Order: sequence, then C-alpha cells, then structure tokens
Amino acid sequence: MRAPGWLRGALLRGWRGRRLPPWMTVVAAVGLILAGLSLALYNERQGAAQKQRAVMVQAQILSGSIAAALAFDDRLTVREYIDALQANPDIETVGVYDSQGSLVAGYAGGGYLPPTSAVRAPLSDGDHLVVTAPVTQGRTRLGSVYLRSTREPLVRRAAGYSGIGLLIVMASLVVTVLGASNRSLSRAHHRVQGEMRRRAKAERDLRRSQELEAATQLTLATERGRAALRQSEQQLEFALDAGRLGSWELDLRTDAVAASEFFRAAFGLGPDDALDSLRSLLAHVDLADRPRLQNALSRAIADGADLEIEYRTLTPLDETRWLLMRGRAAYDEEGAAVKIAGLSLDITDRKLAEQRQQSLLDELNHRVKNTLATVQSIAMQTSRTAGDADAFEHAFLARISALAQAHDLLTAVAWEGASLGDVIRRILAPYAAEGQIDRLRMAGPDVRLGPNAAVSLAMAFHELATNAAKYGALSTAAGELEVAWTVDRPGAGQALPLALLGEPVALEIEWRESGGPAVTPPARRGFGSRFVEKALAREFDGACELIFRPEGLQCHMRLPLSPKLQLAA
Amino acid sequence: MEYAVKAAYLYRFAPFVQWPPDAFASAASPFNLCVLGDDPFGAALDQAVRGQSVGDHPVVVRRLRAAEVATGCQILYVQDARRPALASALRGVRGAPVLTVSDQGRGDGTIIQFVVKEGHVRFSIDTGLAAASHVTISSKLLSLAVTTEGGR
Amino acid sequence: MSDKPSLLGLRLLVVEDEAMVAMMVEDMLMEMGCVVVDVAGTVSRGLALAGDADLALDGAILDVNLGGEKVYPVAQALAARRVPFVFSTGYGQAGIAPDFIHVPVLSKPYERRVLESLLLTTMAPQAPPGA
Repeated sequence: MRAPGWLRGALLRGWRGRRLPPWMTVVAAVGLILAGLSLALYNERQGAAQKQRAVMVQAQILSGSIAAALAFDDRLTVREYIDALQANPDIETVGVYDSQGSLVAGYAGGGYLPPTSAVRAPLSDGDHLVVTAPVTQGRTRLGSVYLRSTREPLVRRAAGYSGIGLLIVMASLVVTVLGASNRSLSRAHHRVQGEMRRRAKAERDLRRSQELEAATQLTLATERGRAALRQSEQQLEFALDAGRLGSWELDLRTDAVAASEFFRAAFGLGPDDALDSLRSLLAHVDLADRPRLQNALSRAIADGADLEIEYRTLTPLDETRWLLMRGRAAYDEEGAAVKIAGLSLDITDRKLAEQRQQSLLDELNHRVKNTLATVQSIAMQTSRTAGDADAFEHAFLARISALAQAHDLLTAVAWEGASLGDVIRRILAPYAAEGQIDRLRMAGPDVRLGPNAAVSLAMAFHELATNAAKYGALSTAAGELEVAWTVDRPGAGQALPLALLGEPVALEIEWRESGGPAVTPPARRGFGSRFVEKALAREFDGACELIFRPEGLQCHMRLPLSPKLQLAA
Repeated sequence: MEYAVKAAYLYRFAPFVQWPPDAFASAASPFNLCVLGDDPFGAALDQAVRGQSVGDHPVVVRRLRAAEVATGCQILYVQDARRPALASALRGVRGAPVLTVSDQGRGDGTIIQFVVKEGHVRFSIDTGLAAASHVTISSKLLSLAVTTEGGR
Repeated sequence: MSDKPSLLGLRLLVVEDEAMVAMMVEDMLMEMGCVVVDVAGTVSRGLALAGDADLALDGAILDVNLGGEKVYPVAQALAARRVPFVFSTGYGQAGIAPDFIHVPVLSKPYERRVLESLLLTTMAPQAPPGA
C-alpha cells in the first residue's frame, strides 16, 4: 500500500527542507507548555462547574423530599432526610429553614451552620462550595435548604494534571530529537527517494511496453474478428440469398421493424417502401390471417417458444403471396422481451401447387363418381334390353369400351375436352379396317366438346354404329356411311359471304347410311333410339331425329352451341 | 393552640393536592375553604389564609350552615363527621372534587382526618375516597400521613 | 298400397346434364311410380321449367354441376315456388354452396333404396292421396 500522493508530496517537501533551526524548537516547546497550562485551567474550571451541579441536585432532592414535612412541621421526618445526607462525605454541612428563614433542623460536620438562611447564588470559597435552594410546593414557598460541600484539595487536583505535564515534556523531547536527526534522515531519504524514482521509471516503462503489446494484440484480434465477422456475414447473406430466405426483426421496445430485401419482396414491397413498424407490417397481411399472426407473435414472445406460421400477404397490386415466417424472441437479464427476429420464405408456389393438387383430387373424385354413375346406367339399360347373359355381356362390354374411348380422348388433353371429329373417328375406327376406308366419309369443322358432351356423343355414335353394323349399311360390304357436321349461323342458306353471317348458334350433324339392306322402321324402339332421340336431345337442349328411309338410316342432330359444345377458335 | 395549628394546616394541604380543572368555575375563581357546621377555628383560620392564594385562586374562607350545598368548595372541613346532618352533607359532595377534612369520625366519609399523636397534630388520608372524588394527593403528603387507607 | 307415405304419382323434375345418367334416374323414378315431368340438361332449360307456374311440380332432383355451370339458379326458382328438391353430385356434401347447405344430397352413383327413402322424407305427402 502506498501513501496518497498529497501526503507523500508534503513529506518529501519537509524532508528535503533544511534542518529545523533552534529558535523554532524553543518556540514549539513554549507553545506546548502554554497549551498544557490552558488545558489544566480549563479542566479545573470544568471540575468546579460539575461539582456545583452535583451539589445543586442534592439540594433540590432534599428540598423536594422535605416539602410536606416542613409544611406540617414534622421535624422528625426532616431530621431523617438530613441524616440520610450525612452518609455523603462530600456534604459537610446541611441546614433546613422554614418560610421565615429560621433553622428547623440541620447538622454541621466540622463547620459553621448559619442560624438563619436565605436563598442565594452558589458560593465557592477555596475548597468549599455553598449551595442554597428554596423549598416550594406548587407556588407556595415553604422554606429553604442550605448545603456546604468540600472540594478535593488542590494538591490532589494538581497531581491529576501532572499527566498533562509529562506529555508536554515528552513532546518537547521529541521536537529536540527530531531537530537533531533531521540531517541524517534527510540524507537517507534522498537515497531512498532516488531509488524510488528509478524504480517508478522502470515500472512506468515496463507498463508502457506491456500496454503497447496488449494494444497491438487487441488490434490484431479485432482485425481478425472483424474479418471473420465480415466473412460470416457475407456467408449468411449468401446463404439467405441462395435459399431465397428473408430475414426480419421486430424491436419490442421501439416497435421498429427491420426487414431484408427478400422479406419485403414477399409483401410486394421495394427497399424504399414503408415497412418500419409492426402496424405497417400487419397492414400488408391478409385480413383473414392477421389475428392468427398477432396471436402467434404474442405467444412466441410470452412463452419464448419458436414462432412458425404460414400466412398470406397483400401486395400493393392486390396479389396474394404466401409467406412462411420463423422466429424466436430474445430477452434481457431481467427476462423482459427485447426483440423477436427470424427468417422468412416465400412459399406461394408451394401453396398454389397444394391448392392445385387438392382441386385435382376433388375433380378426380367427382369424375370417378360420375363415371360410375354412367357405368351404372349402362348396366341397367343393357340388362333391360339384352335377351340373355351372352347378349348382355357383349353389349355391356361394347358400351363400356365406347365410354373408355371417350375417356382416352379426354385424358389426352387433361380432361379439358375433345374434338368432335376425333370422337367420331375413334368410335368408327373398328369399321374402317383395311380396304373399307372408302365406305366411311367424315367431314366437318373443328368442334370442341366438353367432357360430358364427349362421353354422350361417343355413346350416341356407338349406338348408331352398332345398329349400322347389325342391321344397316355397315352390315354389308357395299354399304356406305357419311357423317357430316356443319355450324348453323343466322342467315345461312341465303348465299351470303361468311363475314356477313351472324354468330354460330348450333351444330348440325348428319348421319347418313346408304347401300345397305332395305330399311324398315322397327316395331319397337330400343335403347339406342331412346338414347339419341330423347336423352341426347335433352342433354344439349336440342333436337335429334332418326329417319328410317328404305335406302338407309338417317340421323339428324341439331345441338345448340354452349360452353360444352363450341366451335374451335 | 391545637386549632391554630389545624387552621394553618387546613390551608397548607392545598399545594399538595391537585383538583381537576372543572373544580373551579373560572381561572380567577376563588379557592373556597369551607367550614361546615361548628367552627372551632374562629379568627385563627382567617389569619392563616389572609393574602394567600392557591395558584391563581385567592383563598376565601366560607362558613356554611349544615343545610347548604358544599359542592362549590375545594376544601370542606367538618369538625365531627359522625353527626347526622354533617354526614348527609358529606354524602352530598361524595364524587365531587372536594377535599373533605374532619376532626373526628374516622371511616365516616372524609378524605383527611386530623389526628393528635404524641402532642403533635398529624393526619390520616383515605386514598380510595380521594380517588373517588377525583382529587390527586401528592405522594409527599401521603408519606407524611400516619395511616393511609385504600379504597373501601 | 297401405297408409304409408307414397311416391305414387309424384310429379318430379330431373335436371341432369349427362344423358346416360339422366335416363337411369328417369327409369328409377318411373319404377317407383313417380311421374317424370321433364328432364333438363342445361341451366336455362331447367330455369324455364322451374319458372313455369303452369307446370305442376311435387319435387326435383338437381345435378349440381351442369357442364361447368352450377344448378343454383334453378334451385332458387324452385325454392321460391316452395318445391322441395334434392341435389345429386359426385362431389358429395363438400361441393354444395353455403346457401344450400341444408338441402339433402344424393351421391353418385345412385342407390335405388337411398333415392327412394330420400324422396319419401323430403317430398312425399304425409297423408297419401286417395287410397
């Protein structure tokens, strides 16, 4: 431990000064003696005052004790109190006087007891102290008391002060010795001080070089740390960019939001667009998802649990994007939440794919159910008309096959529809075998059929073709079949140029057989004619007619155009 | 001679006794030293209290006839408390802040009774009755009494 | 026929856009003794029939999806006339618009018994006519 600087400075100045001159030593000694004397005098005065106070208290106690006895002239009681005081060796003389000042009782232990007394100020005469006190009760004056006390003899008091004198002598001695040894001490001190200075300098140099080294190392370490930090920041940034990850941070004390470029992009916001508070962030969240996001944030802040939520954003262009946001809250030493921060990923593509997949599954389910209903119907109709099990099996499988053909065509274009020409060609393909191509003629514009329309028309042409193969033009080698379809427009048939005709309104299909066996109208209408004439007409809200001419069967269909039956663009 | 001493004592009880503040009609009301019935003091009492006061209250001697109500007195002296008329008067002031004093009739309803002992006039004090009368007697006076009695 | 509620003579409208399925429904209903007043394949035809005040109807079976169009306008017209109806669909209950969530749904493919009991509970008069 070292002395504080100011003290060391004062000591050094003192030691460095010249030797103490003799007159100064004398002055110091005289000063000390004077101080000792005044101390003794002060002590003497204090002693006297204290003594006086003590005797005063004694007088007052006596005065209070004897008040009643004095009032009622009970000298015996007065005497008892006085006798009690005699036990005190300091009290030499005691007197009690009545209200007229006459002595009632008292004792004189080796001194004078005045026969009458009056109250007056305490009186000190040499070694004695005289104190008087009134005896009163309420405001009534009943008499007075007189006390004379001895003090310690002066010799004994002086002995008490000799301790102070001894101290003064010792102090004088010390002053003298100090003066004498001043010179040698001063020399020794100079040596010590020189040594101290050298050491201080060496110490300073060492510390300076240590500090320099530490600073150098710190600088190096900081540089390395900064470089590493820069590198890891760059790596993080690269990783975030590569993963198309956004980063975000919400300062819970200031409500400030810091968001990266990718995070902003998911909200359709550029780097300069306002996204600086939770409020402005929520304003860009789909209304339906806002409470969910707020709840998730509060829960993550309250529980410290990981935040993970998918929600929709509203871009300024009213586009909906999906955002996956992950994060975690940070807390200070007292456990108060400071901020919540994390990463985000734009998952719009995934969400759209999920939605597409779901709607595809729904659609598939619907189609399967519808197809089953169709098959159910085919089975019922076939069983109604087939004569025996073999006939049922043959007809049922043929019809299911036609249904499958329609489905093939539909599947090829993602079930969006099929071309009328393709449907007809597909159904008639079995009858267009090698060498028989000439007997089939098909012509017409490109007409798009919806899925149901394709199935129904496939079934219709299947029924017509089956009938033709059984009884009509396709049952003989010479028979011919022509299928032609046209689009009817208002004004058609008036030989106007196409540009002047109105919008197309209906599809006209002509099925014309010729060259087969002579045709007679059947006695009973079968499933096929019922299907074509009634069911098909109803489906399209159109009209279909079978005409049994002797030269061959004709079928005329007029089907109004609709979303499920339209001219290809 | 005995009554001259008692006359002086009668007044000297006052500094050793505290009366409640409502014992006086006002701060300047006189201190009533009453004698009920026979007056054995004569002029000695008047001489003893002449020019005296208790606190701010000048001492006045009142001589009451037996029938009079004595509740306005601070000190009430009866020579013989056993006499029926005086006894009933004493019962009338019981509970009022009146220091009752008698010569005779110990146990008959006065707080202080004079007693003559070995040729000296002394007194006894009934502290229970003093407490019931709401007068506070200094311990200095109690220590001087020949006997003191507690409550009855 | 006993006192049981009966479908006999019930006049029904069928709205179904697939000819093959429509035929089967028509056959099933006729076998139950119902009168199939008409079969509509399109929303416009269905609306025309449902809105025809002269056409007496006791009920209707409506296919929800008619070639991309929804049958709900027809349903509204029928509801306005207080004609009871059921939906038929391959989508199941999930495909029904919220406004018609209380309407019974007939799932494709059809089961004759289910169709019959559904029609009995929704359309058959409680006191059988005549008998």
